[in-house]
Amino acid sequence: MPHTYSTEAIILRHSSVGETDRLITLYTKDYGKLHAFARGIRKPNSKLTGYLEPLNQVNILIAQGRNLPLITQADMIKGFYIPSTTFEAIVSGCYIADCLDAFTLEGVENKLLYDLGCSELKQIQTVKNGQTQLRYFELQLLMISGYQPELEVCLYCRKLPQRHSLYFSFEAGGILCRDCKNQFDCFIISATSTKALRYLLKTETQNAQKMLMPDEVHKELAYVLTNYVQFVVDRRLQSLTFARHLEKWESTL
Amino acid sequence: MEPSQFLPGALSVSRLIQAFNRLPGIGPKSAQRLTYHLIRMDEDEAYALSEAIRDVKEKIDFCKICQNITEINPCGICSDSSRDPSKLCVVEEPLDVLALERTGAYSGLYHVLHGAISPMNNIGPNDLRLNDLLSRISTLPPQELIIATNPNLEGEATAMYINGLLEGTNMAVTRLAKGLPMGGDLEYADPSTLYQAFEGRKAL
Repeated sequence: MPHTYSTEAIILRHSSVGETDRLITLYTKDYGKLHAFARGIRKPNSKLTGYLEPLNQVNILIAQGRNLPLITQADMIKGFYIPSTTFEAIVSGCYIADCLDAFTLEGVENKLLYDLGCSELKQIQTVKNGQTQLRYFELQLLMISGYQPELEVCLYCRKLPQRHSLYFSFEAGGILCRDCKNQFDCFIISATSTKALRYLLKTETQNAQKMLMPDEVHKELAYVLTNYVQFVVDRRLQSLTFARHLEKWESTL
Repeated sequence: MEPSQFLPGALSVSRLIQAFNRLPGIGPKSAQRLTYHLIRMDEDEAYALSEAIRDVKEKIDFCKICQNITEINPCGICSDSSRDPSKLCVVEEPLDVLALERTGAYSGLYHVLHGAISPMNNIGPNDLRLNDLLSRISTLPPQELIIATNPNLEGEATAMYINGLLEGTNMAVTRLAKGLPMGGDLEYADPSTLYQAFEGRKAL
């Protein structure tokens, strides 16, 4: 790796260090996930202030520091926060960043994943139905990362299952038929939800918004995909726990 | 590592090094430097420091009205009758109250949330003093609620969330203006800040 290099990046998260510094986690287009220092960024007059906020897509110049890389310059490609951004969009954006962080390893680049992150962060700001967009993102993320769920044939016997006897297993990574359901831990999944999953897997991002689904299908897809994502990364995602706690808190108001 | 392993025969020194080491931003070397500075320090000064630490732990409480840290309850600001109760400013941390007070531009009351909503760190409204704010507003609604959370993603999320909760009330909910900092450089300002500085421009 050269001593200084520039690349595009999505800011995934940051944490404050010392008086005015921050440690930034970025997902870069050319070098994969990186942790880098931004010195003095918490001062109001810092050249980097505003650019290195989570969910922004930026062009950055990085210098190889003694321990960690240093971000020396930044320029905005697409800022996430605009005056019309909603609270729901911020929560969804944080979930996208959380997933990218969980699915990626340091220094392993994946341009498809980077492009998916950029396009979905852009989409989530503008779409009306953020939940369908998140389901699309989860399926594409699983596909690019090599965890695409099998939705056509039974994973055990490789036969086409009957439409009304479908089961989903996180462990097996897809659907099972009634005869094979005892081979893995699984739960029943409706034919409509399976059809919706197949469509979301194959369609383009702009078509995901055109899908009209009843509430129960929305809920079932959210259950299947958020839990499958967490099964794959083998940990609870903070942004998902946040969304659940928020729902619970709001019900007490 | 056991304290005795640091410095045999000087357990108190090792304990102090370890205690400093637990503070944010203090590494093992800084902890050692601080400890040896304290050893060389005047006895009176050292005792004053230990007393100050003890006082903070014993006397400091949260104001039952604004949730700011205080020694008297309600705090000095909440019990000051000259302050304007029609304005309520919501801030993230007690230090933000100090910063706003230093400007001398605001004479209303405060409410300290003790944090900001952060989906990525699973910090939600239940982790903040938001319930206290809602019950305070419902009993004594101010005319204006000024949201002065930090101008970052967490601060914006908190501001939006509070605004959403108060939708439909008669209260004016405002947000501190955003723009260019004094001594800043226009060419280094990010597009979002520049946009908002343009939107909020004023006649000279």
